[in-house]
Order: sequence, then structure tokens, then C-alpha cells
Amino acid sequence: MKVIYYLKASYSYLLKRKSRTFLAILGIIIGISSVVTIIMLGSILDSLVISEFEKIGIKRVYITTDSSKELREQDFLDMSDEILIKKRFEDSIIALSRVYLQSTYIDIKDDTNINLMIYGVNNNYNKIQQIQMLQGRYLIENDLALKRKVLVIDNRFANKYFGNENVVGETITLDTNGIPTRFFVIGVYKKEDDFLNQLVGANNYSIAYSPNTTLEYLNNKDDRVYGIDMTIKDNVDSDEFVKNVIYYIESIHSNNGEDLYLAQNAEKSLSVAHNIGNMITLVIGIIAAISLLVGGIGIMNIMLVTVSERTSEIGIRKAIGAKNKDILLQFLLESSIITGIGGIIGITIGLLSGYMIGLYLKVDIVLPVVSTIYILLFSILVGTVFGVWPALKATSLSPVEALRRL
Amino acid sequence: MIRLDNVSKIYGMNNTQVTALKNINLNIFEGDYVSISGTSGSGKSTLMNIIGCLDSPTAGNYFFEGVPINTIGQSELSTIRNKYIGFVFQSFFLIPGLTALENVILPLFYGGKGKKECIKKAREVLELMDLGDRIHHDSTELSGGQKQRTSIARALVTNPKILLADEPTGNLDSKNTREIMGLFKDLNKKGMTVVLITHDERYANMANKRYKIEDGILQEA
Ligand SMILES: Nc1ncnc2c1ncn2[C@@H]1O[C@H](COP(=O)(O)OP(=O)(O)OP(=O)(O)O)[C@@H](O)[C@H]1O
Ligand SMILES: [Mg+2]
Repeated sequence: MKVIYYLKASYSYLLKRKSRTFLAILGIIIGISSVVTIIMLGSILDSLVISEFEKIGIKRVYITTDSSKELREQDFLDMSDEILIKKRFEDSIIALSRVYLQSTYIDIKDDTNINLMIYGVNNNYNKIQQIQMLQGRYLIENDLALKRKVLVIDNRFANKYFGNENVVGETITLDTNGIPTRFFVIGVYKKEDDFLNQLVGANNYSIAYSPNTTLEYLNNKDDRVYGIDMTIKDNVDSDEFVKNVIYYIESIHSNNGEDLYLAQNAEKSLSVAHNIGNMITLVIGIIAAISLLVGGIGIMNIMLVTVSERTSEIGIRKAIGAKNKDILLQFLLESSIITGIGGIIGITIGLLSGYMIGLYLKVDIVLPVVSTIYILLFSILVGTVFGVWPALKATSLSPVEALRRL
Repeated sequence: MIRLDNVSKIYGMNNTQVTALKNINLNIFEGDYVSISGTSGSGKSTLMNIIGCLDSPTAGNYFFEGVPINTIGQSELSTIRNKYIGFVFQSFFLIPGLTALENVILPLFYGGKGKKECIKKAREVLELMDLGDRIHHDSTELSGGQKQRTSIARALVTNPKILLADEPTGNLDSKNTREIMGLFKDLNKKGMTVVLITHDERYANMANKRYKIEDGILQEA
């Protein structure tokens, strides 16, 4: 109740000087709204990164030879490696597939073409990479055993090439080793909107899956393998696993310690991405904090003006019995409420803009309730801290002096 | 009730010194109606500020109810002003942005009274001042006479021992002046100690003790 008595005069005083009051809290509004936006942006980026990695699979490890190194014949990965790793790490691995890669350009009607990446994989690859079937089926064991010329394509490619997605049984002719070969479409899977790839402009290719046995056979290849892709169990430490697998491969090829194999470890990349995200948030956060500081100085300025304009009010209050602590409290409350209001406006703006960014990026947004409360408290604190000097100035006036200055 | 012993007040620094009060001796007793008159710049307001514990003398002693004022601190001075002294100023000194009622509540509020009591008392006094229909008006929306009656209500709401009025009718017309002077007389009859500073000889004569001040020197008139 007391607060209302303290603030009634402030309120009407501030209302009479709307534009000045608004300008004074503008700094706070900008500072607070950017802090809130940044916090939300941070969590949006986090969930974006995580969802991207979930598409790839977080517990995923891909092993290749390091092509930047000078490799001898004996160093290359081959089909027996696939079998040996599968056996040796049976307890850790959920699914594993060697990968054969073929990239072709497919002409579509209006003299444009699409880069089609054909992944030669096995029937377990859909346990490594999320592949959501829309039509037909994914590869089965027999496709591999019989080296069937079959393809699983994505719906966007199907639409571009055939004009619709109902294309199971249709054929696509691909060049393999210089010879045109007809492949049957056995399935269509859903192409995910890939935000990160869109960002780097790498979304203009399509991926098709075909049995690795078929592609290897048609391309007349020896038993060399490009890479081995796998998903490991959740309880397996991916760092540890990668070390063990590489050591094992090196033992097989008798090149221990030569560092000829590369492992892409999704979990590790995720934590790196996470750390980078945190760093960016921290840096922008510091900048926002500085802008709050500037806002606080603005508040101090307007409070000084307020105190000098209301000298006689202070004198009257003192004459009729206000103690120094009453005056101090009045002006501290006033500045705290100004920045508190600035904080509320800033938080609202920040939440709205964060929400809008989230909508645009199609990310589920969690409202940062707890940090919002802290930020509100902090903005009130800014008002209190920067109000101290002006409020002390107000209390230091002697009542006669204050009354004479009318 | 009030005793000034050889009180002097000197303003300013070494080379621009102004002696506003010179060795003033004054006793005010409970129930007195004291008037102080003098030309402009003679030191009337300075004297009232000292009596009202708003300012302190540069020399001499001032006792309020036997308490030597120069020995006590800011906070206690505020309490004394709040409890025992009612101020009425020439230019009203109401706080803009507060209604008449809120202005009158203020001394009670600083005196630590509860909300209900504040409102009840303030309302009573305002009605006594014939302002019952103006209590929710902002103080800036009142006429001069209404403003001064509001400020008198504010001075009286705490039931002070002494009412100090520094040219309370200086900004008012003769009708309002007459009303307020009548009011002061009534208050004094009911036992209120009144100190009135005025230019106007007629109203100075209403007092039972009349003083003149000239160049900081106080004399009985
Ligand atoms: N703060 C101050 N600093 C310096 N001189 C002051 C100060 N206050 C008052 N004086 C001087 O002290 C003298 C007495 O002033 P005071 O205000 O008491 O006069 P007054 O009798 O109330 O005059 P008026 O009738 O015009 O209100 C004047 O000469 C004035 O200039
Ligand atoms: Mg005066």
C-alpha cells in the first residue's frame, strides 16, 4: 500500500512527460528485448542443431580413409573390414553398412538437371539414416543378394522427374561405367527440409539408395570400400568406440599409428556445435548487457532531471515530516519501476520476436520463463542501482533550501 | 512551548554575509496567537523557518517544548515537524499530481498512520474546510482559496500543537483572506497556538501578541 502513496505523484509526473519518459526507458527496452531475443535464439539454434543431428543420428560413426594421406594398396578399406568390424564390435553396433557412392546428373524436362547422389548401401542402412518411406519399400536382403537394379528415391526428385510421387515400378536410366542401365524405382521416401543445408546452399541435390552390391558389380569395382557407416548403441561411449575401431582397423592393415583413417563422430560434432553456440550466445549477451548499462545511465540522467524539477515537492514532503529514508525510498522506487516497466516491455518484445523467429524456422519454442523472471528482476535492479545517486541527491536537500527554489 | 535565546541567523560566505536575524529572544506559550510583521526582506520567513525546525540558527539556542533543537538529528526533526507543527505557506505548496485528499493524507502517512485512519481523518478535516466536494480533484485544479484551505487542512490533519503561517493570504483576494483569518481566530479560540506572519496591520492586530521585525531585529509592537 505504502508504495502506491510513494508513487502517485511520480506516476502523474511521468505521464505528463510521456515522450521524455519513453525515451529514457527506450535504452532499457532495447537492452532487455535483445537479451531475451538472444536467449530464445540460443535455444532455437540448439534445438535446430539437435534436430539436424537427430536426422543423421547422434550415435553415428562414419569411417573412411584419409584421402589427403599417401595410401598404399594395403591401407584401403575393403569388404572384409566390414565383416570383421561387424563381428568384433557386435555388442556395440546396432547397424552397419559399407557405402559406395556414385554421383550423376539427371536431365529433367526444362533443360535443367539434378545432381543425384546414389548411395550404395545395404538393407540395414535405414537403421543408420532416417529414411521415411512414402511409397513402396526400402531395400531388402534379396535386393542385395541378387544385385537387383533397384532405387529408392526421394519424393522431391520423384516430383521433378516424373511429375508425381506415385512412381513405384517406373524406371530411371543411369550411366554406370559408361553403360546406360535401367533401374526400377521400388520406393519413395520423404525428403526432409534440411535447414542447415539450406543455410549453406547445399540442398540442390537428391539422394537415392541402391544395393551396394549392384553398384559395385555394375561399376566393375574391386573390393575396395569408400566408407563404413554405422549406428552404435546409446550406452556406448562414441569417443571410446571410435578409438577402438580405428585401432582395430589399423591392426588389420598393419599401419598402427599412421593416422590414415578418419572417423566422423556425430555426437562429438554436436557437442562442438553446442559449445560454439554457447560462445556466440555469451558474446552477444555481453554486448546486450553493455546496452543495458547504457540504458541505466539514461535512467540516471532522467532521474537527476526529475529530482531537480521536483525540488519543491521534496521540500514540502520534508517539511511535513518525510524522513530522508522516505525520500530515498520514493525515488529509488520510482527509478526501479521505470526500468521495471521498460523490462516488461522489453521482455514482451523479446519474446515476440523470438517466437516469430521460431515460427519462421519451424522450431518448437519453449518460453524461457525462469530467465525471464531473472531478467525482470535484473531490469528492476538496474533502476535501483542507477537511481541511487539521484535519490541521494534528493535526500541531501535541506527542506528550506528545497522550498526556496520554487 | 517555544523559546528563542539570542538567536541569530547569518546567511552566506565571508564577503557576502547577510545577517537575517539578530539576537532574537522570543517566548511563545500554548494558546498564544502571535503575529509577526515587517517589511520585505526583514527576516520574517527566516524566523518562521527556524521556529518550524526547517532551518537552524547560526548562533543562540532554540528550545521546542524544552528540547534544544540544535542537539537533535534530521530524522527527529522530521518527526517533530510531522507531529507538532502545521505549516501554511504563501504559495500553498501542494504537491501537483496528488488530489486534495492525497495531499492532506501525506503528513499522516509519514507519521506512520494506517490507511483507513489516514483517509478518515483527511476527509473529516477537508469537510471542515468546506472542501467535501473537491477531495478527489487534483491539487492543480483548485482555486487559490481552495488550495490554501487544502493546505490548511494538511497542516491541521495531524492535530499539531502549533500552526505556523507565512503570509498565508498573500496570494488571495480579500474575501478569502477574511475567511481564513476568521478560521485562524476560531482555531486559536479552541486552543491552537498560532504564529501568523503578515504584512497586513488589520490582521496582525487580531493576535494577542504582536511583534515587528526590522532588519532582523524583533520588537514587540
Ligand atoms: N538562503 C539565503 N541566502 C542568503 N541570503 C538569504 C537567504 N534567505 C534569505 N536571505 C536574506 O535574508 C534576509 C531575510 O529574508 P527573509 O526571506 O526572511 O525575508 P522576509 O521578511 O520573509 O521577506 P518577504 O516579506 O519578502 O518574504 C533577506 O535580506 C534575504 O535576502
Ligand atoms: Mg518571506
